[in-house]
Amino acid sequence: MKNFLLKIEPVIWLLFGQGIMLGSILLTGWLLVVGLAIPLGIVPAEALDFGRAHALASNPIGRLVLLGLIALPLWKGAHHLRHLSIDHGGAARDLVVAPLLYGIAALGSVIAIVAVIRL
Amino acid sequence: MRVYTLFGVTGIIYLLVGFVVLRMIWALGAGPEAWQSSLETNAHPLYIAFNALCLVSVVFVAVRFFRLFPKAQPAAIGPLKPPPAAVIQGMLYLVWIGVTVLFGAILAGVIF
Repeated sequence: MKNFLLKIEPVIWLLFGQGIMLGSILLTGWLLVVGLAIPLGIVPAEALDFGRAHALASNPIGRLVLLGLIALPLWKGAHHLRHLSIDHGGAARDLVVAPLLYGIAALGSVIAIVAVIRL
Repeated sequence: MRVYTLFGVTGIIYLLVGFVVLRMIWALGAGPEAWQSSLETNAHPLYIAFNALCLVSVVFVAVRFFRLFPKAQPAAIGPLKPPPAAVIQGMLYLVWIGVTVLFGAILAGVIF
């Protein structure tokens, strides 16, 4: 497992970096509008009625953006939490923590791929 | 050290928000009723508070990352040297604001 984690480290760092960069850039607009403005009534809910939301989300660019919006933050979160664990005396338990966190991110990413395909 | 730890703790927020967005997109694929239900769930005060916390976390992460980004650049790639840190940061903020305005306008129905 330790060797496997070392082998996938470059991919994890890539996903982590893009999770911070692209994930944060995409999440800001999403959280402002979908997370706050629509629920608070600042933007009318009709802006994202089913027909319009589905049309936006189901085109190829929409699917790609949504996949990035879901999967990249998962990898940023998993990798950051792993290193937080290591930094706080968790080096010994890393062989359990790392596969668990990366497993959650991988599972979420696979479900995200299915979710955008089935739109 | 505290800011560094806080930066790491935002990992929990990112992991959670990824699954919250996933839940909404899954609902969108399930049909109009599921989508409407997910929008209504989003209007619950707990979700609004969570989304506000997420927004604060995202801004914190982005600002910290953009500040560190120039330091992470290679000193040179062949004969090419990176632009000054202020230029790199300025470009990052420009992209961040630009994408946020564009994405937000699309989601809010202002364009398209």
